[in-house]
Amino acid sequence: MGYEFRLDGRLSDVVPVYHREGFDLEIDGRRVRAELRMPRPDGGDAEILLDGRSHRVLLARRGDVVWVQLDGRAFPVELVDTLRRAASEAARGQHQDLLVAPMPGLVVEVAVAVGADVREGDLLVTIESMKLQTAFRAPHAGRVSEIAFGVGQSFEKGAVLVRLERDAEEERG
Amino acid sequence: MRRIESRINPRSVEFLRHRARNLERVAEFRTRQQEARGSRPARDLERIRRQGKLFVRDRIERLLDPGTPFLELSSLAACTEYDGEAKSASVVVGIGVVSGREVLVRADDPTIKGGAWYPLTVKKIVRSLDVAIENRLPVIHLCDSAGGFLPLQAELFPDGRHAGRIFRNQSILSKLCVPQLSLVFGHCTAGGAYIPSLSDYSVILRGNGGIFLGGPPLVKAAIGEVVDADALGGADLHTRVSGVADYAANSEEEAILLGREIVAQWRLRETAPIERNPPEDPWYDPEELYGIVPDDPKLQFDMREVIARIVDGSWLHEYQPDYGTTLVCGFAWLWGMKVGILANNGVLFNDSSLKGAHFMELCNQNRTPLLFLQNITGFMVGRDAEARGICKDGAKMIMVQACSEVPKLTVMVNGSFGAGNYGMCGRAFDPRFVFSWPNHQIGVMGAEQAADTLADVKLRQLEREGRTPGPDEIDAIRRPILASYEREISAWYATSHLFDDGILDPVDTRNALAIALSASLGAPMGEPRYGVLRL
Repeated sequence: MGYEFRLDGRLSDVVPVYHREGFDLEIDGRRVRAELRMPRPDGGDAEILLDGRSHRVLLARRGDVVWVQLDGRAFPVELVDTLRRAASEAARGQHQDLLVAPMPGLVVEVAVAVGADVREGDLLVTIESMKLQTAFRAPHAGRVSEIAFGVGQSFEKGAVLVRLERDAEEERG
Repeated sequence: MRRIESRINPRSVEFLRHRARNLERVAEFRTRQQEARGSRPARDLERIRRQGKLFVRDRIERLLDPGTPFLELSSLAACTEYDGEAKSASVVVGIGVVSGREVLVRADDPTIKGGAWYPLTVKKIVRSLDVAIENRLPVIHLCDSAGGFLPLQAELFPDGRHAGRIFRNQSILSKLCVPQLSLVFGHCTAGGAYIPSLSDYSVILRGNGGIFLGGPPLVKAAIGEVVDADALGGADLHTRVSGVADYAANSEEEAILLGREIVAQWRLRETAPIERNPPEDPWYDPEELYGIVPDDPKLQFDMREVIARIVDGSWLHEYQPDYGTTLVCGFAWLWGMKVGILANNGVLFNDSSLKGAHFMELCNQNRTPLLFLQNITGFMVGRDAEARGICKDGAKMIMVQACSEVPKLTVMVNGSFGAGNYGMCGRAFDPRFVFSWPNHQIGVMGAEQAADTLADVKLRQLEREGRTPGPDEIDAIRRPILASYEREISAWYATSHLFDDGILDPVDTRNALAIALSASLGAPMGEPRYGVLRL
């Protein structure tokens, strides 16, 4: 597996093949002799040599994307963070539907009612323990199906504080 | 490493409220700092002008390489003591670059009681030389002090870390082959005479400069000899006859430039090899730090949001992301220098303590300096935690931390209470530098808890006497305790007493840490070794 680039919206697999004079690039299985001549390290005018043919380009970096201007068109090129993608793919399908107390404490605020529809990040309950107030927010969109403790009530470590039903629609997505 | 994904909403009501409050605090910090740096009674400024002296800050500016940063330490020292008279504790200390070398500058301020040393002045000088020893930083002393402030001599002379420690530290520095230079702009009397005498190099100014164990009045009283200051310990006597000083200069300008030439002869110090990477700005705007730290110390927030606004590119490799989640551990780059970060995200439990200890072992093994970001109310209490052995797990964290060989830096972000301060490398554990944010609070416990505990003791005492106090009476007991406690746990009080090395505007944290970290690499790192861990 090579490095993955998103070029103008399309994914490409790029493997550098090292040899005595430098390296070739194997782009989606096609081997190209490539060389970049860039006078300034941060971008600007540059020359790309592909199989000996010279192309004048203009390079500009914006965040994680490098824009390559060639023949009057600008192409966004982005190195894909494959670990991040793999991690987020693995996380999909794991729902955290129970919010469990990490330590014994007291409920100081209940921000939603049973039956309420919430979006990801909405405040559900706030607890106080060890002199600290911790806000519990919805880990995903859904419907509140249980709030186990009211304001002023105390709970033990491991107690379920809130139960959240996942949206059927989001499940499909 | 992966870029931290920020989850804050900079338009939310809470964010804006926190931001407004923190900006107020930063404004107060800036006001206090400006006053400490520049505001002096006109008569004192007039006096030094008449004497042909430069203001201490101007001397430092001329000494430093143009265009290089200067990290001032403890600019608000003594700000809550001596009626606020001793600005910056009458001595300016900082890390800067002179002739291409990182050095520590220590400069007396003759506009405050003739540069006399108050107890906190001595504490600050001793601390500055501790910094020099711990980090192998060469020192440049700009000497212009009347000596110890006599009315408070009992608080600055007799004890182990009082004035004598200055000269002990100077001697140890020299033994460690760390050079010192003194530029003598005024009188160095009594103990003060040893500062240039114990320096490897010294320049003394003709006219204003003087070095003597006893000044003219004392000499007259002791042995009846009548002699003027110049004949007793002036530049020509010391550079031509006694050999106490090395070079004479005719003006402050000349003394400073000569000093720069001397420093240029010093060997460049060797630095410990650590992992490096090309530096990169944080991906997220550091200005957002103002809205992240809440206006109420009881409110929890995600310390990853702080890390994301301090480290290069907001990149973090988080270690054990799903274990002991109340302590965030991970590797990051700070201005291209690799660091291992430990940051509080809640109370320290058994698992978070073990995770911290293990992570610090990894950092000691691979020579990665440690950065602690404190916001800690303590280790978990209660039967469950005790039965799991929170004491021995906390002890492991403290042991590994205390015995760490890599440089440690600590930032007091929001709160530091109880034993959490120990595990997270508080002042007592010799972090190379400790900085605080203006909102920070530090103490055995929070103000409310302390007031409740102390009021409770008093109430039970009254009950034993057969009295039942009413709510007004209870309030009368509680209120003064609360007020004094709140004062004493504030960042102003802490920095005034040198419990830290200075307050930082949160947006300056990244740059200050980079200067501090770079300075810390001058000392060699030993092999990892710890005491007995209670397993």
